[in-house]
Amino acid sequence: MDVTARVGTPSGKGYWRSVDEFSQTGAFREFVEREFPGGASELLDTSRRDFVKLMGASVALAGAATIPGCRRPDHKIMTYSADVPEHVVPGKPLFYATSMPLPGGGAEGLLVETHEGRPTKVEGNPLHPNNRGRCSPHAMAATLTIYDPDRLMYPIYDNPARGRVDATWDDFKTWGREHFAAYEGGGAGLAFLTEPKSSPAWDAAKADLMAKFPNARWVSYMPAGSDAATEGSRLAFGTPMREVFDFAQARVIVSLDRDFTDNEAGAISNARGFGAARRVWKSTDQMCRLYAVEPMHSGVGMLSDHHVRLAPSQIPAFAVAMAKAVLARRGNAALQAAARGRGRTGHCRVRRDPHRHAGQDVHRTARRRSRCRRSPRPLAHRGGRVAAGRGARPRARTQRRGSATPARPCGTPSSRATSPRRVLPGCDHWLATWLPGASRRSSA
Amino acid sequence: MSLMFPKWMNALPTLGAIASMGGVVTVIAGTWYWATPSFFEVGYQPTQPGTGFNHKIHAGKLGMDCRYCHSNVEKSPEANIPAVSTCYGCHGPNKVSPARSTATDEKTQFIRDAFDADESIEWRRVHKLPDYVRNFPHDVHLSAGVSCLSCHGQIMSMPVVHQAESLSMSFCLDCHRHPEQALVPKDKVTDLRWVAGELEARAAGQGTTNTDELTGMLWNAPPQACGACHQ
Repeated sequence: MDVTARVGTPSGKGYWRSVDEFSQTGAFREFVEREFPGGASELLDTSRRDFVKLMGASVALAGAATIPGCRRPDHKIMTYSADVPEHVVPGKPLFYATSMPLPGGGAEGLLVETHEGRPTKVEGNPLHPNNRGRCSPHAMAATLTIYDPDRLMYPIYDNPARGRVDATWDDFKTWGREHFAAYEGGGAGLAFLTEPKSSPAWDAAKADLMAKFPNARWVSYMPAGSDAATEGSRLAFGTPMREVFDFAQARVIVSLDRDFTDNEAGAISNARGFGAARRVWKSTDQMCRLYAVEPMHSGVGMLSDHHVRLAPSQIPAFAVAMAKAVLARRGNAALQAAARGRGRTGHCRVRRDPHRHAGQDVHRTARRRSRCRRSPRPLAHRGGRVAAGRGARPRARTQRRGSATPARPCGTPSSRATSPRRVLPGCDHWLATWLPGASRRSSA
Repeated sequence: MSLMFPKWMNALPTLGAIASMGGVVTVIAGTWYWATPSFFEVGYQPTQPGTGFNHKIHAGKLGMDCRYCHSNVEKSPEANIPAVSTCYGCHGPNKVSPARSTATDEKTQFIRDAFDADESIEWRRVHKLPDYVRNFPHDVHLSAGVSCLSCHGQIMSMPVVHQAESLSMSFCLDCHRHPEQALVPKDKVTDLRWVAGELEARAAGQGTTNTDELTGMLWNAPPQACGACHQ
C-alpha cells in the first residue's frame, strides 16, 4: 500500500528520517511496502486452505505424540568403550589451556571448558600475560563456530559441469596429485591464497609447501584487515609497524574511527588500559577523557564522553584540523610530542613489525610488551614541561585509520584536583572550539 | 393440579452436594495415591542390553565393591557407568572368571563384541531425577555418609536393577530434615548388607552407631533451600 499517496503531502513541515526516504528511492519504497525485510523467510504460494490443513495436521500430530510421550523415555547411558580418555571424569568439567589466532592478527591465551570431550565455554586464561582471564568476543563466540552446522568439514570441489560439490579428503589427495604434478619444477605460476594466520602448525605446513615449490607465491589477505595502517607506517618510517597502546597512562584519548577496545588485535590490553585510566579509586584520581569521532556508533563510541558522527571521508580533514588546533594552542613541540606519542600523558608507540610484512602476525604479546618497556622515550612530557630527547621523529601525519591520538591534559594541576568531574576544562573548550557539532554526553 | 416436580426431587440438592464432595475426595485421594512418583517410578525396571549386569552376582555373591565399577562416584557429581574396558578386564578372552562355563561365556559375549568393535554398550538409565533438579552430587552425599542403600535400595539382591525409592521431593526433604536417620560411618557407605541391618536396628532404637557424632561431622547442615537442588 502506498502510504504516501493515500495520505498525501502533509501540511506543515515535511520531516524525513533518511536521504532514501526524502528522495523516495526504489529500495526505500520496497522496504516500506513489504511486510518483512528482504531475505526473511515467508510462506509463499500457500492458500488459506493449505494453511489450515497444515495447522490441523500439526495439532493432530502433536496430540498423537503426547500419548506415547506419557511413557518414561528410554534414556541410554553410552559409556566409553575400549579406550577411556585420560583425565575425563564424567560429570566434571575438564579445562584445556589453548590459544586462538585473532582475525586482526595476534592470538589469545584461552581456557576452554569441556564436558566429556565437548567444548562448552571459552574464557581467557588467567595465567596468560595478555588475556589475564579475559577474552575477546571472537573467543567467546568460538564455541558457536565449533557446533556451526554450516562449518566446512570437508573440501569443496568446483566441478566445471556440476558446480560446487562436496568432496572427501581422499578426493582432494587424488586431485592434488594430478593438479600439482604440473608444477613440479619449482612451482612457478602457482599461488596459495590464504587468510593470515599465526599458528606454528600453519607455519610448518607453509614451510613444507614452500620447500617443495620454492617459486610459488604465498599470498595472505583479509578483507577487513589492518593492512592499510601497516602500509601507512611503512610509508612514514620505511618499515612496517604496528601500534602498541598504553592507555593506562592516557589522560585524553581521541579515537578516529577506531573501535580499539573491541575489534582489533590488542583489544584486550587496550580495554584493560582504558579501564585503568578510567577507574577512580580515590578522590584525587582522575578519569581519562575519551573523544570518539566515527561514522557509526561503535563500542568505543558508547564508552566515549564526547561523540561526533563524521563521514569516513571527513576524518582525515578532522585529523588535520585537530593537529592545527594543537599547533595553535600548544606550539610545534607539543604537536610533535603528541604525534610521536612519547608524552607521559598518553602513549601510542609504534613497534617494528617485521612478521607482518611476510603475511604473518606476531602473537607473542608478552615479548612485545617487554620490548616496548625497554624502548627509549625520546620525548618526555612531565608537569607541563616539554623535554626533548634524542631520536625524535615525526609519525605519520594523517593516518586514515585513525589512532588514539594522545594529547596532554589541559588545565592546571590544582584545578584538576579540586574539580574531579571536569578534569580537563581546557580540553572541553578546545574541543568545543573545533567541533561545533560535538554532542556533549555526560559520562554519568 | 399435578406437581411439575415429584417430591423425591427435594432430596436432589442434598444428594448432589454429597456426591460432589465424594467426587472431590475421590479425585484428591486418587491423585494422592496414583499420580505420584512412588506409584509411577518405584519398580521401574528397563530391559538392559545383552543379558544385563547382574548386581546380585557381582556385588552380592562375589562381594565386589560398588566403586570398582562406579569408580568416580566419590569425586564426581555423577556416578559413572563403567567403560566397556572395565567389563572386559574380567570378561575378556582367557581372563579369570570365577564361575567360568559355557553359559557364562555366552552371556558375556556382548561385552567382547562391543570391545572388539570399539562400540559403546547402551545401558538403560534406571534412576533419573527430573531436569529441574539441577544439582544432585553423588560425591557430596557419599562424603557426608549417605549410603547407596538410602536411595538405590538393596542393590546387592537385584539381578536386574529397578528403582526402589520414589526419589520424590519429599523423599529428599525427609532425609535432609532428619539426616540422623540415614547417615552411616563413611567406611560403611558401600557395605549395603551392614547398612541395611544397622538402619533397621536404628529404627528400632538399637543402632550401634552414634548418630549425634555422625551428624556432627557434617560440614554443613543438609540444605533445605529451593536453590540447593533446583539451581
